[in-house]
Amino acid sequence: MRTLALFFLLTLSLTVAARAVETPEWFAPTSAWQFNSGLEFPGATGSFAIVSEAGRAAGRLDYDFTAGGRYVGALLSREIDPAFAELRLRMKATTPCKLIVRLIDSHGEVFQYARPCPGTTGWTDYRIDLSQSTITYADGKNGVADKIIDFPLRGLLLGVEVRKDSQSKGEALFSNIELVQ
Amino acid sequence: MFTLLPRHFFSLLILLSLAPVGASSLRADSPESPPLNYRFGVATHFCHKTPWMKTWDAEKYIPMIADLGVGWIRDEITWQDTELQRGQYRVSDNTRKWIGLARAHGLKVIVCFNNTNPNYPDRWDPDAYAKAAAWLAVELDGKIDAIEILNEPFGGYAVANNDGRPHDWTGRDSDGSASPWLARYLKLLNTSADAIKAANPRMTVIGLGSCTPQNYRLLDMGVSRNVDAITDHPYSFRSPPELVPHPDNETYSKRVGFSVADADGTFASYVRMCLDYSKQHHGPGQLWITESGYTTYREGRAGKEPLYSGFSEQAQASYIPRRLLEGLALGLPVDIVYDFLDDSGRAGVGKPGDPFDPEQNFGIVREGGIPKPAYFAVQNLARATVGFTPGNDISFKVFPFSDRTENKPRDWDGMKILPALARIMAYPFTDAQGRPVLAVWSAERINDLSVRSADIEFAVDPDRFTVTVLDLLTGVSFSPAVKTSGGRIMLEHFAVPGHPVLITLHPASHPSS
Repeated sequence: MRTLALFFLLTLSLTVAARAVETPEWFAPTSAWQFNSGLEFPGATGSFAIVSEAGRAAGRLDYDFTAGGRYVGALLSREIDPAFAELRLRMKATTPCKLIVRLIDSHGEVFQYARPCPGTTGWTDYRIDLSQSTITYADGKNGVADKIIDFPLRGLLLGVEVRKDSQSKGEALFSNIELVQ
Repeated sequence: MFTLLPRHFFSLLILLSLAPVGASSLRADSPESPPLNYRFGVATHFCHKTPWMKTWDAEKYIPMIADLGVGWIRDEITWQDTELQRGQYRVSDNTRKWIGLARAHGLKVIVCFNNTNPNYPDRWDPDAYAKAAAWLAVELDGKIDAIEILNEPFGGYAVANNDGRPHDWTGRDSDGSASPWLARYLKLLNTSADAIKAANPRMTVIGLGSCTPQNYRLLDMGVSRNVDAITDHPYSFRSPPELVPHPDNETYSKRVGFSVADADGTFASYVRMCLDYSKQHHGPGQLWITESGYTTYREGRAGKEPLYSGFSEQAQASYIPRRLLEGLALGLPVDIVYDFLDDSGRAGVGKPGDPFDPEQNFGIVREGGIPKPAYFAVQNLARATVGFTPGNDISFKVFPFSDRTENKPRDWDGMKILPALARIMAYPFTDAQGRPVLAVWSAERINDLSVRSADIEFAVDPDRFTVTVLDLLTGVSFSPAVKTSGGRIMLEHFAVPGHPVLITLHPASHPSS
């Protein structure tokens, strides 16, 4: 088990050693993404699955806000190290929405970033620059909120946010995650 | 060499547009004139087949067209004018005049061989039409470049050839079968193409020219190998130019039975799918757009809502270059804007000179030779993209910050009108000097919002390139702020307007490494 962990860490280190390296293993079939229905705003339903999109691994987030809710997402709870300056990914959604990215740092602080996503069949590239200020909050009562990202990260959430009473229903695809040092 | 964007650009544009241009401009075939762009053209009405076309003065406007920088015009020769009496053919003096002027100015010519001939019991007799078309192909050899077999046969031709049955844009009757006029047109097309090629193998023959689903049904039936290109008129009607009104959805599928574009109804998917479909059915290998454009009529006429929105002149100046540039990126050989001059004499629908008539206000030049802003935008585009080829080997990424989604699309034939794609469009090219170019614009509806921003990154060594930007609406060039980071070029918060700009990477003369 320890050997496996070392190998895993080494692999991850290698993937971020260059300036920008795609990390497709995040959408490997065995990736432990967990669907999050955004319970603070009840009513949303959905699911998350790993799929192949044009020969490339991707995460598909199905969402249904017809009974309420504001966001849904998929959480990958995993250590992400070493530090990086920028996270990149591609997304497309079948209805207009917002991409939300949450980074959970080693002290339990959550950094949330939002970007608009047009509801079209084409991919949009996103660049989350960690030096830009954003909303942060403590994840649970033991978390801190000092607005400093402390690596290694504990996890990453990719999600879809909609405006209140949007009633929208559709699917979003995420792919090509890159970490840029 | 480079100047900053004038603060009051549109004021300047309005002033410019008040001045007639063209008659005194240099001839396009003179050594001093910039080369013409043979990927783009304009539709014209120099044929004067009806009285309202008399405002189209070839001597006045052909020099203006050459000065516009496009390489093609598309006009008409009518069958009746060619064969006034059965079996006796001629080319009229007026036709020889405008064709001669066009050639003298370096313009290539598409002749739409059009309309009926009452000398025959079947006014569209395919054998007689084909014979006349073949004669024309020989008579005008070296003077014209392509013959198009009828204009929009889904109109008058379909009405007269559908056994009195109603027909619509889907090309199928109520029982699901293909409308009868399609087979008749196909016979006319194939017979004509075979006759033209037999008489003059050098003459390019183009046709189909109907609504896209109707064109697909014609391809199903078997188009002659002598037809060189499919023609289509993919107006976006009320949507921005990256769209055609054929989204692949349940409603469309029920009405048509197959798809001709993706779920968004993108122009790009429409082009690719049409060419794929043609290939699968051994049809023509090219698609020529022989009409598309944006009318600047004003709302206010009572009656049925027109098919087209009335677009502002600013929108027209943005949308036409967007459509042309995307077509260039998709490899379209010829793309014709409808049309060059407002058809102010046209009395078919509204009153002559009616600002409320959609059909009279498609021009990029107003009556009297006053250019609309679109004239200058097309001129900038045509001149800047001479020799462009799609693609280059430079990796790039565009990261938008904002969205321009339309949240209240209007109705369109039982469906919501297609909203603007809202994406930032980015197409790579290689220019005539071999330099990589990226064309970008925001696929938004022209509105009152300020310009969008995006980070644009090129995966190239910053020491080896300098960057310039050409705004195709203003014609202004400038050097953008460039950030070099991690061995790449980044244009941070780059202004991406609703009209195309060209970002060119120039190899540095003296790379520092």
